[in-house]
Amino acid sequence: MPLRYAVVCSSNQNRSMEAHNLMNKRGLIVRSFGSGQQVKLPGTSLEKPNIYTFDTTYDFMYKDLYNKDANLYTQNGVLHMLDRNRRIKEKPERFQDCRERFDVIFTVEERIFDQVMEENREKRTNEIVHVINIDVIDNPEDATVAAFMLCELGQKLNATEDLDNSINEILIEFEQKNKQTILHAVSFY
Amino acid sequence: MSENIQETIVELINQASLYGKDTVRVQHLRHVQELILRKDPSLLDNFLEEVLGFQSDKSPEVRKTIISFIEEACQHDPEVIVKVIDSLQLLLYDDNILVQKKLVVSMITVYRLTLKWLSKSRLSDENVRSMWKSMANVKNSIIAKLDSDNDGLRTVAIKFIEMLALVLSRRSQDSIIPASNEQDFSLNLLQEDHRILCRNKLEQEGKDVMEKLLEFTLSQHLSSVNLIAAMGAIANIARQRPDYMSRVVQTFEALQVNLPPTLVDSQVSSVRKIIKLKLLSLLKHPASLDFQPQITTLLTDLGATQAEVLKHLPKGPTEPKRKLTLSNNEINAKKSKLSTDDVHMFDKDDSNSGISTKGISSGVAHGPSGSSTSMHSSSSHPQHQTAIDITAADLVGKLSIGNVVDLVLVSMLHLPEKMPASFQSTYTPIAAAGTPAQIEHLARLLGAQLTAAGYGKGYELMKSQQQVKTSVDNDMDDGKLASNSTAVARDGSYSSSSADVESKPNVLSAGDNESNDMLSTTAGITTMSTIPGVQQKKMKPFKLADAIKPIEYDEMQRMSTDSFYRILNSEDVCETAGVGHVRKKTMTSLVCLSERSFRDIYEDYIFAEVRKRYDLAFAWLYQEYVYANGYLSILDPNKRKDFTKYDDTLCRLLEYLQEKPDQRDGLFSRLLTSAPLITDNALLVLKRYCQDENRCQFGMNTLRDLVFRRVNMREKFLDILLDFTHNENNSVRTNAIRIAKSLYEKEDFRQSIERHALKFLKHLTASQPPEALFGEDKKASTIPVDTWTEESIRLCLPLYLNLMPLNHQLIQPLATVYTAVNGDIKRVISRVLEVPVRGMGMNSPELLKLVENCPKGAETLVTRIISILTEQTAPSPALVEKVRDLYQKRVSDVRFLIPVLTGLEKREIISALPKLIKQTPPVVKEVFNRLLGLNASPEAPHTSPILPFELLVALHQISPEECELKTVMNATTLCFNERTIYTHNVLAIVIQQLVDINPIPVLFMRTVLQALSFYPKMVGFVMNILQRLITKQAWKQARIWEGFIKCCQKTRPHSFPLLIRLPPPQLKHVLQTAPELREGLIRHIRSMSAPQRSSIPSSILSVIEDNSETVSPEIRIQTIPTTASAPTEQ
Repeated sequence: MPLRYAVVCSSNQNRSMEAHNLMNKRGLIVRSFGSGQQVKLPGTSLEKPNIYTFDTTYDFMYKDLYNKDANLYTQNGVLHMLDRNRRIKEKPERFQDCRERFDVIFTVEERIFDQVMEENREKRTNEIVHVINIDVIDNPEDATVAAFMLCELGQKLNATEDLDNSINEILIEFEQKNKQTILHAVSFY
Repeated sequence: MSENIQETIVELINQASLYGKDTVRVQHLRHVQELILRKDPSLLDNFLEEVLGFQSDKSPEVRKTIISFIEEACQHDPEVIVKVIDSLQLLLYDDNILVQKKLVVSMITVYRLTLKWLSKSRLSDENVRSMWKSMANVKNSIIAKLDSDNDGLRTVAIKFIEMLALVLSRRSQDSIIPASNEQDFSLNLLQEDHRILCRNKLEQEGKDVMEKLLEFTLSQHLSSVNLIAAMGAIANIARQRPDYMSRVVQTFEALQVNLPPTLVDSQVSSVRKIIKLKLLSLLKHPASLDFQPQITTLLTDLGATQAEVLKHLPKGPTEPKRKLTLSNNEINAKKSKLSTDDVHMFDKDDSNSGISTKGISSGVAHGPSGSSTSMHSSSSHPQHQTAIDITAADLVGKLSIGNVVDLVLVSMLHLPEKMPASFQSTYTPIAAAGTPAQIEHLARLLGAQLTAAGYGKGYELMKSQQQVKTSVDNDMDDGKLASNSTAVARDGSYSSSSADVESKPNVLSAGDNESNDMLSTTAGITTMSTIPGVQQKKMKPFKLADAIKPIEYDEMQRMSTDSFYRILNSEDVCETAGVGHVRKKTMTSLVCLSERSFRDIYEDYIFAEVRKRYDLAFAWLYQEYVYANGYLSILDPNKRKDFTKYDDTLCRLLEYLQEKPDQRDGLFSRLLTSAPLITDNALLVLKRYCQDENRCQFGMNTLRDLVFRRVNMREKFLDILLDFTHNENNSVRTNAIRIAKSLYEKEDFRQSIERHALKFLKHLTASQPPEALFGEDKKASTIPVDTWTEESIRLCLPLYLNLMPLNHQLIQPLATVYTAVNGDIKRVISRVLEVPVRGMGMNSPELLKLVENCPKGAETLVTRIISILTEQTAPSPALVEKVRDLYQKRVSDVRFLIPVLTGLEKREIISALPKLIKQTPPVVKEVFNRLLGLNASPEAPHTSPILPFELLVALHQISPEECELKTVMNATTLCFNERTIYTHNVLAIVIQQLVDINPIPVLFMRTVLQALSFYPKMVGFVMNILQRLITKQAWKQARIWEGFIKCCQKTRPHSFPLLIRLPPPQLKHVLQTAPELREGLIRHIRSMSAPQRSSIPSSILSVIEDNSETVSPEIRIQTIPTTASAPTEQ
């Protein structure tokens, strides 16, 4: 059975979507999420981010920002990203609201890892889910690099017969190869 | 409706049992499951059998689907369990791990449901009993899977045990039950008098599995996933069954200092993170109130901030905050009192204090030093644990600075030499050192260890209590004691206080009081820092950044450069102090790590006295290599291998050494042979060095050394060397060839060198010179690129030619190539052959073989070879034999014979003569040179099979049919010109012999005339010959007769007596042809004496005096103008 993946970042815009995009293209079963309270996008300054709720469509955000300052948001790549995102799915999704089950959940920040681990699922099936965190800086370049890493990792995990038994080795190997420190824990549905 | 569903189900089951894709079949079964369980549960009975039939299906996926079917069926109707228990038992032993895992996961639900159903059910028939028995078997098998080899299987087994521990225990008031678990079974729901289920037994079992789980959590071989799962499980249990809170917190305490040594770094951080998360979640729980100090200490050790901790404290945020602040402010002396009050205050103020169990309040009341729990805590707390608490409480007051210092000093003796790796990886500086909470934590750790070792107040107390207890309880306690002591023993071997454990028994034997005092100070190091910790609170926190100001960058640069200079200048001091090696190491390390500036300084320093300091350069290079390889990974573990700096250093050193005017020290070569790695750039430097006319000798020697010593790059160096053998520069080329030749003598290199030489030889057959000939710098070459010139042709050959004398077989490929190339190249090859062919010598079997099997087209080559061989020495019989053979059988070109002429027999020479003299004048000249030995060296005396006179005679005897007269004439002229050989004596012999031949050779008279013109004194001899001609009636041969007359003309007056002796007709002819003779002849007769005159026949006299024209028609016809003019040409 192919594994079901989730990628979680804070706003379900850059890091998770980049990975979503690539993993999807490579034929992995994947969904992406944000774990924050709202969706935050860069604004005119650090103190003034653009904030949306999770049920705002990417398309709306795109048009909204386009009207606000097409030049600025083209320059900083936000429009490009939103454009990419609206081709993938309609709107960002909040991880905490999702009841679907996954085999592996990737997170991109320790804080998000904590949130995912603390998330009280209580679905009582006792199925194992692996939660794996790889720190990714929230910019387009790092997101792209990380997407490739996650995708590669996903493909490796997919290739195993018995995920639970092989994941440790794969992760250790992955850590050594990519010089990345990862957090890995199991949780249960 | 129902009918329809039934039919669909039948159809689906049929399809699922057919062969097909597993995924499709699984889909069908899922569909069935949905139809039965969601749409029409009444159908379950009808189809259960059929569906269970798939439990032995070959596809694991199908079997897994059946398991979820069973699980859902049980949820729907627990009574089904009786029917499916056998299937479950069977599937538990499935071959496939994934199926087993799925089963364990489902069993969590199934077991819980079973228990719930049984507790309510009044059924007690045999079926149910046997089912329960089977269920117990399944349960035990699953518990046993904790020892499985499969990580995932162990994980789900942990989860199963979590469920067991929960259902086989009672909920208490302060249990926090998640909404979804609200309906779950717990022992509270079980009637005391149940027919099948015995509550006490189950409760005991629950405690047992919990102990097992706690023990498992602390076992050493755990994988990180198992550990995380186990921690999650025990934390869940603690939240839902607060009775276990103390044991769980204790386990976390033990765990934190005692992680399995098999975990890698990132796993350690994951595990520590989960510990932190779990502890924070426990902290939220009201029942953890008693353990807050322990938990907060643990959390601080794990790196949690105070804010984080505060956030997780249960309710009323002000209270815990105050508590913490207070505890921080506590001072040693008042400690116990204060903290007691503190807890009391908390109890009073806390609106939720009602939730706290009695155990807590009583614990507070009884704990003399404010320790959280006491011996009177809730009855479900294991007794054993209380022993630790009592001892810990006892110890807290005794951990004074003096005691701790003593204890540390005592334990110093037992510290291992090195810090154990596992300790290093889990050790974190104790953040809250010296705070009462931390001291308590320490006291608890010590208490645990003491109890395990069988000492301490708590242990004594428990022991006395235990004796009163029932045997059942005793058994139970023993089991727990054992499990706990294993944990503590491990603790001892890994925690920072490891040495203390060993030291304890000895110390203790000294006496109770004293030992307790000593023991209580175990905390050592941490307590030491108590005082600053306390003071810190009162003062403005010290910040390094406030106290210092950054040094200007330039200043920093200057200082570091100055210090570097000082190290450089301390050479003598360091040497006398015997720390030269340290200085060297320091300098190289500095230079390696620094930027450009140090390197330049260092270079200058080394090169200022390079002979004395070259070892510094070498050491530096090695250091760069080590650095480049990332062996110094401490500096930067993520560093990739990067040889650019190494490369740069190596090249700079090499370039410097190369520029040095005096190369005799061989440092350049030494650096190259001893460098750990030769980079491509270094090769370029070497190449430049080799091409420097003045240094190429050293360069080539270096290359040779490199070929010998750097075996792994041997081919590369050899190639470089061999490329130089075609270098335009003569000196470079000569040196390269010299080395190549010396290498060629070693068997190892023979083949590659030969291959290379051959490759270049074969380039000649190409239409234009090869790229390789021009090296890297095409433009610098003076040779035209697109056409062959003599120069480029010559460059292809030197190595090959030089190898030929060493390996004669090489002559064969040369001959082959020769046949394929154009005339220009052929000529060049012929020209350069001299030296190698001489080197091979005439007796080389390979050469002889070539002569014997001369390839078509290589005739000129072979000729050239033979001629070189025979230029200065006489041909050997073998060679002659081969040439003769070739001449006779295959190639009838007479030129072949020329070089070996002197080896042939006289007869052969004479027979070949006509052909030989037909060659071009230079060739003919060469022939005569050889035959006459004109070029022979003085050392090797010339021995020709044919003597000069014989040769000349032979020439005369060549018939006009074989060769034109003119050609023969030219040949004889050549002979005459060699006047040192053809002296008058020799010519006399020749003439003498010729005159005896009949008929006289045509050129005879010409030869006579020539001889006469060269040697006029031969006139007397000639007269004799003319006399003989008269007797031989020479007038019968027109040419001879004509010559005779000419000769007479030339030799008058000597010829007059001869003329008189001619018969009258002939005389008359003579006089007609040469009328000027007549007058002389008349004068001659007149001058004669009378008697002499009378002896002249009158017929003669009349002819002389008769002036009339009577010419013999016969003679006139025979006169040929060309021949008549011949003598006059001379």
